[in-house]
Amino acid sequence: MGIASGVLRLTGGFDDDAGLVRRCVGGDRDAFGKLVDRYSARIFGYVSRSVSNFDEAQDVAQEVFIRAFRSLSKFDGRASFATWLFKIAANLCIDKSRKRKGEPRIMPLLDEIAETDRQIDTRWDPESLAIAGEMERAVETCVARMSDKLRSVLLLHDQQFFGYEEIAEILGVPVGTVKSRLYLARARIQETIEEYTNGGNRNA
Amino acid sequence: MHDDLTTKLREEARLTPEEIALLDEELAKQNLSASAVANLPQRRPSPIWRGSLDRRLSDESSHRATLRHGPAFLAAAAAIALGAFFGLRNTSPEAIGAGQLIQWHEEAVASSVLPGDGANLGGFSSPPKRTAPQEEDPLYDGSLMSL
Repeated sequence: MGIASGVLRLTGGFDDDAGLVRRCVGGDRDAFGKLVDRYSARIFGYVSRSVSNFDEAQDVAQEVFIRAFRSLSKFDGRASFATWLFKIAANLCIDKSRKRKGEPRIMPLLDEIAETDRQIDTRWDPESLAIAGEMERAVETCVARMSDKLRSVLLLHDQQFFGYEEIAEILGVPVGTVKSRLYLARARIQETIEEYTNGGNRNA
Repeated sequence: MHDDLTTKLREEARLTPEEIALLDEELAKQNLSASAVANLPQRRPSPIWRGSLDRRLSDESSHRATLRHGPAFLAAAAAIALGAFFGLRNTSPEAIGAGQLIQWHEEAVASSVLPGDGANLGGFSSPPKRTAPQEEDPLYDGSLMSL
């Protein structure tokens, strides 16, 4: 236990978010690098499904971290660092959405996303694999076509696993509104799955 | 779920405690949708993205360092300049080198005799100097014809 904890301590394994933030404010830029390592995939996953295309997602995700770096001294620790970071991300996505109103939304195809980390069980037979891929695509399309309000709650709850109160804090809405939006968003997903399983999408 | 509750949800209207309890129950039944979203593939930024972000963060750090240390640097430079200025003014004549004094003197002299600059016309406006009367030459009668 002693050796393992010693190794972890030397490699920064016990650095929690608050500790890393304190080090960043003290001028340690490597500490911010660790926060980027810790959250870049989650932020990118959220942002890439909230903006219109992949390039824009890369820009917005970078901007999230740049803004966080600039205003790190304002982080008071009342909410978790993750909540605070996702609040920046959500606000940037809303800004982008307002700016592109009227423009057509470009929905990225799954194949275009080179960095996608697919987690499909390879023990499945090819037909099952293909069906799972089609279903996945249908759900992705449904998420992309949702309103910003529904999509943000759905992604924050069912993909990023935030609680109702945290989502309320991130989006600045009451908890009841979070629940309402989540119910409606999931209902859309449910309709999509039912349409697909009934053969609607597979024949399209 | 009742249609009227669905309508209230769409309108984001205030719900009664009973309606909230019903909503919680309905949310708990939506496992299939929740897992479908949770199982969407993770998307990760590329290493190029990370490199670009690191460069931007480095630029940001430099900018912040300039903002933090810039005023102190300017204050130090101003202090040195002021010190040099007042130090020169308070220097005693003995401390100034003879060569410098000679140079200043020559410059002053040169500037006072510059022709046509209007600075030396005072000398022309003064009355002519009176000279002592000369004794008359007995051989000269005052006429130029005799020369």
